[in-house]
Order: sequence, then structure tokens, then C-alpha cells
Amino acid sequence: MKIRLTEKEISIIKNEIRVTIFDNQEISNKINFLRNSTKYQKYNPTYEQAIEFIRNDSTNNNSYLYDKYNCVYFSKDVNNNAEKQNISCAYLRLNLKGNEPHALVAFNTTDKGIIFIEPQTDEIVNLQIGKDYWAECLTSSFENYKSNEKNIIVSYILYW
Amino acid sequence: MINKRNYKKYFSILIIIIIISSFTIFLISFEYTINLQKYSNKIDNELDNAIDELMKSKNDLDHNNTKLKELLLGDKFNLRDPLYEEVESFINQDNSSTIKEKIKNAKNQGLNCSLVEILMGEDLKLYQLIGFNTVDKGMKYYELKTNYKVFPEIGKSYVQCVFDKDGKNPYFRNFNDTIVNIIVIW
Repeated sequence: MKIRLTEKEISIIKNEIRVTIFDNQEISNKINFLRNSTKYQKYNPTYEQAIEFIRNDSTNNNSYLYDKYNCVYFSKDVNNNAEKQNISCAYLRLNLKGNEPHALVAFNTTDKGIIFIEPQTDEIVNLQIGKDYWAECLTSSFENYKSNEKNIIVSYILYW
Repeated sequence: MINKRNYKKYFSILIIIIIISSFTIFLISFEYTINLQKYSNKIDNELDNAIDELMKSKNDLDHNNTKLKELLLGDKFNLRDPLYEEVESFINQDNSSTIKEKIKNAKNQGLNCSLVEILMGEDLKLYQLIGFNTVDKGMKYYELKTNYKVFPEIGKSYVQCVFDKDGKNPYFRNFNDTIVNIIVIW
């Protein structure tokens, strides 16, 4: 048996159709935006992959300029280059006892845990709070570096 | 006095009038019934079409909602650039006390975001923001605690780049806050 509706009721249904079509259009637009958006499938590298990435990355060849291209820029570039290759990389901000903060990068390797890299030299850093960063944590490139209390690591923040 | 003959005549006329009237009433009611039936059929057809259209639209809507949910899924390893609407929703709901935590929370929801370091003045004073490259409205920057939107431009005073919900500059400049550089770390 058919239900008889008035024109007013039909008009309500028509309005509901208009609203549904509008909602549908809005969702379709969002779907299109999301379909065209960039997707990132990040991964934590193995130790070997991290080292290989660092070896191939040429950021360390850039020249240091105190105000224009300092540790922050080195770290930013290494981090962004790694992320472009979908390698999960952390930007690390190091707070020193007396000097300005320093920046480096880190990888959470799947086989050897977190490794810290000094992006100006591509060295693996033996990062330890309470030690002089340049004299004690970066051993190979800075072996003649004189210990300075201002360079003692107070804390650090990892931004993944 | 009406004689018998006249009476018969009048009676015949009356009968004819009654017959004609009845026939006319019958015709009118018949016509009305037909029209009512036609109108009813028209309404039924319109209703059928409307219901079909509504069902189709609702099916499409359900289908698209499912697709949208699939596209919105993500975690810290499966990231995507978000919609502006998602960013606003995230920013308004998240109560992180540090940029690090805010970035972590956004990434845990699959929203790709960046640490943004703003360098200001001669002494390169540092200020950190969170940034999103939205798919529909480009790069969007937010302050951590206030959720104010920031539109940073090199060479401009930082306080002039910050806007509250009413679109006003909430800060007054009390030091050299000219933006020297904007560093985006993904």
C-alpha cells in the first residue's frame, strides 16, 4: 500500500536530497584532496641503512657560516633529506652548560637502538649528559679539542 | 388553481430538471475523481523519484564516508599531509605542553607536521612553532600554548604575523622581533 504524502512532505524530502548531495560533494572534494596528497611511509632504518644514508648525504660538505649556515641548518638539511627518503630521523637540540644550544640528528635503528650523528662531520656521537660535547662525545674529529665547562651537555630534546 | 394537466406538466419538468442535475453532478464528481486520481499518481511518481534519488545519494554518501575514513587512517609511520579542517580540529583538541609532544601527538594520528624554528632579531632569538603542509590551504603554522595562527614572513615583525581567533594581533612588540629566518624541520 502506498503512503500518500502532501506536497509539503515531498518538498521536505527534496530538501533532504539537496542536503545529502551537498554533503556528498563536500566529502568527494575532501577525498580528492586526500587522494592527491603526498603519503609518507616512514621507517626506522637498520644501523647499516642509517650509516649508508649518512655516507651518501652531502650536507657535511657545506661550509659553516656562524649566522647563516650553522649547526641548526646542517641538522635541518640532514633530517629533511632523510625524511624525504622516508627514513625516520630526529632533529636533536642539545642544551649546553654555558654555550649556545647545539643541533644534531638521530636515528632509532632497528638493530642497534638510537644513534646520534653530528651532521657537520657525519660522525657517530657518543652522547652523554654531563660530558663535554666537543671534547668527549665527538672523539675522532675533535681529538685535540680542549675541554670547556661551557660545552658540558645539560639536556637534550629529540624531535621525531 | 393548478389543474391536473398543469400538475403533470410541472411534475415532468421537475423530473427532467432532477435528471439533468443528477447527471451533471455525476459528471462533475466523475471528472473530480479522475483529476484526483491523476494528481495522486503524479504525487506518487514524484515521491518514487525523490525516494530513489535520496537512496542513491545516501548510498553514495555512505560509500564516500567509508573511503574518507580509510584515507584518514594513519600512524607515526604512515603519515600524510592533512586537510586544513583536520589541522584545526587537532590544534583545538590537543593540550600538549611542549612542541615535541604536540608533534608526536599529530604524527601518532598520521598527520605529517614539522618543527618550525623562527629566528628573530639581531641576537637570533629562537621561537618554536608547529607547521602543517595542508592539502587544501598550504602551509599553516601555530603557536604551542595559545593555538594562535602565525603567518611568518622574513623581514616582518613576529607580533604582526600572529593572529588570534578574531583575526587580531594579540601581542605588542617590546623587543626586536624581526624575523630573520624560518627553519622548517620535517
